[in-house]
Amino acid sequence: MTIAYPLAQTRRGFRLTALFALPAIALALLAATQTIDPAILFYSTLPRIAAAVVSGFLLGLGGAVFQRTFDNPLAEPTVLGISGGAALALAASLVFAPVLWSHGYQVVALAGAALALATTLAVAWGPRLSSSTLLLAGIMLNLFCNAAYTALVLFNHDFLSNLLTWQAGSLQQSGWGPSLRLMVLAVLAIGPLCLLEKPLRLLSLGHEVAANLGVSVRTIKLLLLVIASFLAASVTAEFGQIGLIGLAAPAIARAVWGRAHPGLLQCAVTGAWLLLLTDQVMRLLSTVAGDLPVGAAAGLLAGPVLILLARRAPASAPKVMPIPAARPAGDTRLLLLLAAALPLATFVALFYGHGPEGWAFAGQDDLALIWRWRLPPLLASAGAGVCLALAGLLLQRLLRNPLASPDLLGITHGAGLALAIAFVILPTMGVATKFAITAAGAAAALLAVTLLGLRSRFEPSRMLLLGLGLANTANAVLVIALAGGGQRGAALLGWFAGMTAGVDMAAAVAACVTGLFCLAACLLMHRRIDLIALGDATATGFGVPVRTSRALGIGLAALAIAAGTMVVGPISFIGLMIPHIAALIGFRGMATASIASALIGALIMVLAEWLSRNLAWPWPLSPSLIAALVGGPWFLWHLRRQAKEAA
Amino acid sequence: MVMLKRRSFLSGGLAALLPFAPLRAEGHRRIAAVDWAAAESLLALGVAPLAVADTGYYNQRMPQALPAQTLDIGPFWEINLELLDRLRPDLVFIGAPSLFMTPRLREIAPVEVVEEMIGEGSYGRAGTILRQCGRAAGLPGGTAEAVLAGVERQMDALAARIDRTRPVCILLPDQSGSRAMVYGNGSMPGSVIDRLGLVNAWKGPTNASGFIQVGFEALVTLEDAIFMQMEIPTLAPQTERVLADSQLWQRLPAVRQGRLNRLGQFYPFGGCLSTLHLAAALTAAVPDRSGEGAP
Amino acid sequence: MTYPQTSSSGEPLFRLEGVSYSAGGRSILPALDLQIGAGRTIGLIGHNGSGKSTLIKLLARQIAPSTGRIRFSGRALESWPSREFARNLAYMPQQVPVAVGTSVHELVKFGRYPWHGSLGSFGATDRMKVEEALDLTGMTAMAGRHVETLSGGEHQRAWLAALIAQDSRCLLLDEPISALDIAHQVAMLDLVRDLTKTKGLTTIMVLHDVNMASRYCDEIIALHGGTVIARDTAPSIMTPETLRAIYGMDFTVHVQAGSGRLAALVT
Repeated sequence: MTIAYPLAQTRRGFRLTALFALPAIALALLAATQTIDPAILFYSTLPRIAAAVVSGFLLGLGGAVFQRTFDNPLAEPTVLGISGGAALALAASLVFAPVLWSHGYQVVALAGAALALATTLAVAWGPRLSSSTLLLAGIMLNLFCNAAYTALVLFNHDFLSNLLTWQAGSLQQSGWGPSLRLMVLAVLAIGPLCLLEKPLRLLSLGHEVAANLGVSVRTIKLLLLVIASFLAASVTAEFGQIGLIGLAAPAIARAVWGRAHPGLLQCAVTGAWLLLLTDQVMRLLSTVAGDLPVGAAAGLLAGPVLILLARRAPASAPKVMPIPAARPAGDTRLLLLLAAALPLATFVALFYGHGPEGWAFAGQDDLALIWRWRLPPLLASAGAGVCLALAGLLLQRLLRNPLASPDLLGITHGAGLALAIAFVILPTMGVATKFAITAAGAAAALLAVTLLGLRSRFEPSRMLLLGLGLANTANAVLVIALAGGGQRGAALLGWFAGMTAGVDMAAAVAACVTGLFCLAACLLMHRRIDLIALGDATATGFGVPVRTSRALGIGLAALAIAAGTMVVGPISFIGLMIPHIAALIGFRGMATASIASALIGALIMVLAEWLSRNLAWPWPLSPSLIAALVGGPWFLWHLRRQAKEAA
Repeated sequence: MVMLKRRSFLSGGLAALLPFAPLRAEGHRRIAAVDWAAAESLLALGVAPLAVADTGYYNQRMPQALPAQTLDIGPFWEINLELLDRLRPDLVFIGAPSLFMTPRLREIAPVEVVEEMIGEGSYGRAGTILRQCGRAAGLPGGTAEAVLAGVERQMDALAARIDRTRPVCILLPDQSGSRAMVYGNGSMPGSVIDRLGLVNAWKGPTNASGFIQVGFEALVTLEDAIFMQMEIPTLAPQTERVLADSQLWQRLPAVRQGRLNRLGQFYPFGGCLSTLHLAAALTAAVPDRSGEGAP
Repeated sequence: MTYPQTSSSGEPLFRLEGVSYSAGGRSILPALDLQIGAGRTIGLIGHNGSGKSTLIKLLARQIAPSTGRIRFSGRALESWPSREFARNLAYMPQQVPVAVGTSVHELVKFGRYPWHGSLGSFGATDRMKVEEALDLTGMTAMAGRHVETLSGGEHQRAWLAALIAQDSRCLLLDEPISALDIAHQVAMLDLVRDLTKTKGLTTIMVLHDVNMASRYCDEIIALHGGTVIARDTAPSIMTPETLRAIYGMDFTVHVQAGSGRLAALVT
C-alpha cells in the first residue's frame, strides 16, 4: 500500500532536522574554536567530531535497516549478537591469547562479532530465514556472550578493568585513524544500501508479495543484515558499545519526517546529528565529571526523547503474538515432572555442596550453617525466578512483542540507580539498608512507568518506547554516578552481575510470596490475556476491557520485577527467555504457560544458584551468568530444531 | 625510564621494616580482613590475618604477599559468608561499601569499619588504620607507633632523595589510546606526592575518590610535568602498542621531551605499606642527581 | 431464542445523531443521522473510501466518533459495560487476525468469553453453544486443526463460528466474503441469513458485490463520500440511476429467469 507523501511533510522534515542539527553543529564549532593548541585541535577535537558524525551515520543506517527488516521497534544493529561477540572476543583474547592483540584490538572485536553473527544465522538458517528466530537467537547469543564476558571480567577484574570502560563506549580520539577508517566504510556502504533500499521496502509488504515481484527474500535479507551488522560492528570495534543510537535514530526520524518508514539516508543523518549532539554535551560535562562514556550516557539525551516520542507514537497495527505451535503440545505430565523436580533440586542444592574439604554432603553439624547461609539465597532465587519469569511472560503477551523483557520497563535500572546514588552520596550507609534503597528505587521507577504509561494509555508500541526511554535514562545516570563515585562503585559490580549473598530470610520469603501472588493473578486473568494476545480490536469485540487489563498486567509485572530485583539484582535472561522456553516445550495458553514459566524459572534459578555458589568456590559466580551459560546453548539448539521443522 | 620491580623494593626498604620474619599466628585474635588496607596493616604489625578477600589478586598486586595460611574468602563485593562463618573469626575488618552490600556479616562476628582512603587526609588515614588494627589485634600500643615511626623515617629519607624541580603527574593510560586516569590531590597517590614535597601537576577536578578519567588533550597543559605512567604488567604490551599509534600522545610535551617514567603497579587504596611502596617507586624514578638534600 | 424487533420502548436498535468522524485531517464521515431497526439483514454498500468500514467500526465501538452520539438499544454506546456489550453485539473486522498456534476449537471457545468472563467456569451451555456454532459452519471436522493451516475460506468460517458462539443479537460483519470463492460466498451468506431469520438477529454487513447485497439483504444502505445517498429495499436500489449515483458507473439490471432475482451488470 503506497501512500503519497505530501511535499509539506518533506519540507517539515528538512526544517526539523536542520533545527535539531543546529545545536549539535554549534557545540562542535564552539569546541573547535575554544581549542587553543593546534595539536589538540587537529588530533583530538576534529577527529572526535568526525568520529561522532560518521559513527552516528553508520549506526542510524544500521538501525533503520534492522527495524525495517524485522518490523520491530526493539530491533537494533547489535541485536543479532554482535555486541556480545565483540566484547567476549576482546576479553577472552586478553586473558587467553594476548598475542592476538598485536594486530590491533579492532580486528579481534570484528572477528568476535563475525563469529556471533555467523552463529545466529546458522541457528535460523532455512529457506525463509525467519525473523523471529533470528531475533531470539541473536538476543540469546548476546546474553550468553555478555554472561561469559562478565565472568571473565569478574575473575580477572583489574586485568580487564579497561575493558569495562571500552564497553561503555567512548568517542575520545587521539588521532585520525579510527575516524578515517569508518569514513571509508561509510562511503563504501552507501552505494550497496541505496541499491538495496527498494527491495527492503518490498520486504515490508510480505514475503509472498516480495517473492512474486522477483525479490529473493532470503538473499536480500541476508545481504541487508550482514552489511548493516558489519557497519555496526565496525563502530563497536573501534569505539565500544554505543547502543541507543541505532534504536533512537529511526524512532526520531519517524517523528521528524512524519512517516512510518523514513528512508535509510534520513535515519542515517538523524543518527549523525543525534550522536554529535550527545557527544558534544558529554564533552562539556566531562570538564567537571571526567570523561563520560558516551555509549552509556547517550541515554541521558536519547532516553527522554524516546519517552516524549512514546506519547506521540502511532498505535501499532494489529499484530498477533506469534506463539509457535510446538509438537508435541505440553501436557500436565510435564508440568508435574517440573513440579516434582523443584523440591528435588532444592534438596540437592541445600545439602550437597563445596566446602573447605571439597564437594561433600552436609552433615549434622552443618544444619545451622545451611539454615543461615544456604536456604535464604535458594529461596530468594526461586522466588525471583518465579517473579521474573512471570513478569516477562506478562509483558510479552500484553505488549505483543516477543522481545519484551523485565529490564524493558526500566525498573531494574531504577533500583540500580538508587543504589549507585546512595553509594556515591551517602557517606556512611548506616542510615538505610540495601534492601530499603533498592525498594525505593524500584518503587520510584514503577511510579514513573505507571504515570507515563497512563498518559499513553498503555498502548503496546508506546509502552515499549517508554520503557526503553526510562531504562536508558536511568542507566545513563547510573553510569555517570558510578564514574563520579570512584572506588565505591566497584562494590556494586557484584550486584549488577546478579548477587544473592547475604539476602536474609525475610526478603527471601517476601520474594516467594510475591511470586505466588503473581502466579495466582496470572491464572485469574488468563482468559483475558489470551484474548488480548489476539489483538486489541478482537479482544474488545469479545468484551475484554483491554486497557484496564493491560494496565493491571503491566502493574503486576512491575511489582514482580521489583521484588525479584531487590533480592537478586538485575537478571535479564530469566524474564526474556523463560516464556519462550515454556512455549518451546509446548505450553501456549496463558494458564499453562504461567505455571510452566513459574516452575521453569524457579528450577533454573535454584540450579543456577547452586552451581554459582559451588563451581568456583569460594568465589561466587552469578546465577544469571550460569543460567545464561547453561540455558543459552540449549535454547539455541532448540530454536535450530524448530527452524528446521518449520522449513 | 626506570622500571621498579617489587622484589627489589622488598629487599631494599620493606624488609627493614618488618619486625619479625616469621609472622605470629598463635596467641592472637583471629582477624579476617575484607579491606586490603587493613590486611596490609595487619601484616605490617606482624599479624597474620585469618582470611583476606581475594588473596590471589592481593598477592599479585600488593607490595607484600600474604602468608600461606591466610585463607581466601572470595571477592570483596560478595564474601563467602558460609565459609567465613565456619572459620569463626573474632573480628572482621571491612570497608563501608562492602558492608553495605553484605550487611549480614554482622551475624558472624563483630565488624570494624575501615575508613576510606580518599580525600584530603588519606595519608594520615593510613596511620589511623594501622593503629586501629593494632588495637584490634590486641597488640601493645607501642607496636603500632613503632611501625609508624619507622614508616615516617623511611618517608623522610625518600623525600630527601627525590628530585623536586618539576611537578609530577601519575597516570594510567587505558587500552583505547586516547584516555588516561590521573590521580589528583584527593587520592592516596596525591597525598604521597604531597608528603614527599612534590607538586601534583594535575590541578583539575576529580571524582569522589580523587582520580579522574580524562582525554589526552587535558594533559597538554601540563607542560613541564614529569609523567609517571603506571604499568600493569599483563596489559603492558597492548598499552605500549596503542600509545605508539596515538598521534596526540606522541605530541604531548612530557612525552615528546622524554619526561616519561614507568611506575610499577601500586594499590591506590592501601595502607602504610602501599604508601611507602609508591613513595619508593617515585623516588627511584626521579632521584635527585644533583646531590642537594634537605626538604 | 428470538429477539423482539425493537426494544420495548420502540427504540430502533441503533440511533446515530450528528455523528461525524475525521482522522489525519481528513473528514471521513461528515455529520450523519441514522436509525437502524432490529431484526433484519442490512447491507452497507458504496465505493471505496465512502466510509462503510468506518461506520461499522463506529457501530461496533471500535472507534469513537469525533462528534455526535450513538445509542444502542436506547442506551448511549459508551455506557455499555464491555462484556454486556459483547453479549449483545458481535463484530468481525475486515482483516481477521491469524491466531497462529490456536486450534479452531479454541478459537470458537473464545467467543464464549462475554458469557463466562474471566473467572466463570466453562459450563454445559458454553459447550453446547460451541458445538452448535461448529456444526452450523461445518467446521466440526476441522475443530482440532490449527488456524494457520486453514484455507482463506475455512479461516473466515472459523471466525464466523466464533461469532456465532458469542450468541449476540446483533452481528456486524465488515466484508465477510471478500476472500471467498463464489461457492463459499453463497454458503456463508446463506448461513448468515438463516441465523438472522431463525434467531431474530440484526445483521449489518459491508458488501462490495451489489448483487450479493440485493440477494441477501432486506435493506440496503448506500454511502457516498460519507453520506447516505440511498436507503431502501433491494429492488429500489437495483436501478441503473441509483447504481450510477452510488458507484459512478453504468449498470444494466436484469431479472434472473425462474427466481426473479435482480442482477446488475456493468455495461
